[in-house]
Amino acid sequence: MAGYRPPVLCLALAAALLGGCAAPPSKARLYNIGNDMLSTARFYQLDRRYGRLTLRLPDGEQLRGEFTLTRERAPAHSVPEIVRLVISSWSSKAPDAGLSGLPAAGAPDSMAGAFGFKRGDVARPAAVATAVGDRGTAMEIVLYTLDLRRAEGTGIAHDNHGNWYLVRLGI
Amino acid sequence: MCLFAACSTIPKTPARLYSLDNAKLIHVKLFYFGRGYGKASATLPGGATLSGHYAVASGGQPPGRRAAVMADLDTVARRGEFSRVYGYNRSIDSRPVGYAILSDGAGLTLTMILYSVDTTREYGTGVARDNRGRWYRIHIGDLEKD
Repeated sequence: MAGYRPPVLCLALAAALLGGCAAPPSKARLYNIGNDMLSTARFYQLDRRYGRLTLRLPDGEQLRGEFTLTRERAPAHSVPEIVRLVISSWSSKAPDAGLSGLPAAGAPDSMAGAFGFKRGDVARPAAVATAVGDRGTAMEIVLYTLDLRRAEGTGIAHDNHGNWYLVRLGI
Repeated sequence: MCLFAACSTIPKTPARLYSLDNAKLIHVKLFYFGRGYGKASATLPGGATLSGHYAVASGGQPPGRRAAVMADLDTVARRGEFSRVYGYNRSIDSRPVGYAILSDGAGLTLTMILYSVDTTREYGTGVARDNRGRWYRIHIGDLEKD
């Protein structure tokens, strides 16, 4: 009977490893518009449409939370021109290029306003994410564009310390 | 034993409300979420409980009831700034798709407004506000389920 245990353990280990490998998290960068600091968020099982999220802030605080994709389909042209310009100038090597001049500088009064949407623009959240940290930070993220197939998106984030972040999913 | 067995078969879809002020969580249960309406209960971080009801417009309820839900939604959602806090802008005629109202029986009430719901796959999102002015993001769904 004892002879059956090692194979069972091996199978369990293999299944756990395969399960872990099968779903690498989708990464997102959060650019703090006030100080150019970067944070990285991980969306687990994005294609399941809701799931867990982890986020590490520059000061080391670890946040945990979750994301939910909505049933909205934001048209590509709904991205404000300034955000489109800034995002198109980003690359993984120069992530902070072009941050100056973002509409969120100052104290926007809404997520849509911080992303640069103006009166008449179509601001429909394509995904919402929320995470909280052990040191009391609460972060809310709204993605206004989302390409689920390519796991790419753009949006805005805000925390309870008054910071605003431009968010890019798919890095 | 019989009672316990009966209780355990009632489908309860979990939801979390994340406080945008103090990073605390409220755990909510929505009963018979696949049906689209029913009782709701919540547990605060300190252990206090709230109870109430919820309804979504896309559920399996009869058409007459669905119209009543939409009328209730208009009344509840338009009282606050739920749409703007959620992420829409003023240009959008945003329609909430569900709501929940919970109370602890001692003066605390919690209003949940849902903007996206899938009752078949049992997940969704929205924003909530209590009558002390605190805002929350809502995430509905069983995170343990594959």
